[in-house]
This record gives sequence, structure tokens and C-alpha cells, in this order.
Amino acid sequence: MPTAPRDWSDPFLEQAREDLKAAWALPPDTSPSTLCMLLQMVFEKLAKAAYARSGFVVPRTHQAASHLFVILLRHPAGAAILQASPNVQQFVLELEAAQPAIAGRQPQPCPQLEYPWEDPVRNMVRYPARDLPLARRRPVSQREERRAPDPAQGIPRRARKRGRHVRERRHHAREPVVIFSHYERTGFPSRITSAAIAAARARAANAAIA
Amino acid sequence: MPSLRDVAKDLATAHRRADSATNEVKFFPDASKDEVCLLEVSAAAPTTGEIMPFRFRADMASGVSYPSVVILVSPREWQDIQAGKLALPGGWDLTAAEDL
Repeated sequence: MPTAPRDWSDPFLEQAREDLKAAWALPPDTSPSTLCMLLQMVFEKLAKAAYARSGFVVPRTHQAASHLFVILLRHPAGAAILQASPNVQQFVLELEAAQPAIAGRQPQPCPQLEYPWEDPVRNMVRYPARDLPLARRRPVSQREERRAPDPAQGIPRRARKRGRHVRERRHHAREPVVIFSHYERTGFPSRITSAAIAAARARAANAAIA
Repeated sequence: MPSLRDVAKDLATAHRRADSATNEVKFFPDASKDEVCLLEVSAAAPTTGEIMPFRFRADMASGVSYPSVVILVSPREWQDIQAGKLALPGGWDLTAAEDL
């Protein structure tokens, strides 16, 4: 008996979890580009799990996550989640745009995950560990985390002096958890949500937006 | 109890409001007896070259009395559907679809 699309949902979810475990297990000195590559894989598989669960098809596209975002706009709770977290959404979209099959269709040079790419303007070959803009964003240190403001309690004086980027980093570190918790309450499969929360936490801890 | 068509109209209105890039909404009354089946064309949708229906559960609290299935496509994919290059799921008959 052939498999049905729905049969693919849990396997996609489980594989996303394994990719996520790999992301969590990366040694601290690993290039952030590797983390970005793994997170892109996680979110793509999570989105495919969601579509497969609908029971019609198993998407082959690498743009499942961005497609899902536009779908979510149509649900009041989904829209609230996305609007509350434009930066997380933007991060996932940027990851997706850097997926090699997607980036390869864009005008070059176009930075991508996983593989080197040619920069015909400078006549050189670039590679993610050194040249991927997403991966060159500075990680958040624990010290900065402690100094950064708690949105509920206002902005400490020292953080205020450090300027906008510190406040934003702190905001990004909290945001994904809130977002996906909301999502969970709206009926999105909770196991997918849990994995997404973990992915977002990994991203916040290791590659927060500077 | 509202009809499928009533709920489809409400959803179409809500979806247009939520995604202002939505320029077409088609209701497929014959695709299912107990689900609202909509095809929506939005310039915000990526062109994937695939038809990816997404199922929402009913939400009585929000007045959505039936589950719904939404197929979201880009304008380019909509052209391909009309040209017969991209197939809709079985039972989704474009000739019977209603504009909302």
C-alpha cells in the first residue's frame, strides 16, 4: 500500500528534530554558517511537516517556510504571531533565500549556505564560513545578555548607553519563545512548535541579530 | 448554522484584509461538502511551482464553523493553473469555482 502525504509529516518532524539536535551540539568554535545551514534545514522540514499534515501533498520546494508564513497571515492567531515577531520571520526568510537551490537562481554573486559561490565582480570564490552575511553577525555574550534591558522593566542605564543594538539583541532573545508559545495555543501541532521554539532559542543564543 | 458559502465569503474578506497582496479568491463549492475550499492568489506568495493545500481547523469562537482548505498561489502560478500547466487537487473544478 503506497504511503499517504500525511505519513510524511511525523518523519519530517523527527528529522527536523535530529537536525536541531545537531545544531545544539555544535562546538562553540564552529562557524555560525554551519548553525545557519542547520537551522534552515530545520525550518524547511518543519514547514514541510505542517503541509504534509494537511494530507494533500509533501512539498518538494525549499521555499516551504516562506509559503507557510503567507498562509499563516490568514489565521488571526498566525498573523498576530508574525506581526509580533517580524525579525524572527525575517531571519527565517533570509535563511531560506540563502538555501543553495534558491540562491543559485538569483543574480550573482548571491551568498548561500553550505557551498562556496563565485563572485564574478571581484573575480573570486567566496564561502559561507567566511563570507555569509547572516553568519557574520556577532553572537551575544552572556555579559551583554545580563546588561541588556528587560522590556517589562525598562532599560537599565548601562544598556541605554550601549545603544539600540543591545536592546534589540535582548528583544530577539526573548521574542521567539513568546511567538511560538502563542502559536502553540492556536492549535498548531505542538510537537512542531516545541522544535521551532528550540530552533529559535538556538538561533537567539548563537546568532542573534546585531 | 451558516452555509459553506457564507463562511467562504467571510474567510475571503478576512484573508484579503490580512494579506493585502491577495488579488483573487476562488471558492470551490463542489470540492467538499464539509470543508470550505479556497484558492487564493497573492503577490506575497513565493512561486514554488507546486500546489500546496493547507488545512485549517474550524474555529467556532471566531465564527468559522467549518474547517477550511486554502491553496495559496503566486500570480505566475495562477497563470499556469489557468493554462493547465499546474493541476489542482481532484474535485477542485475551476469551471465551477466562484469569485469571492
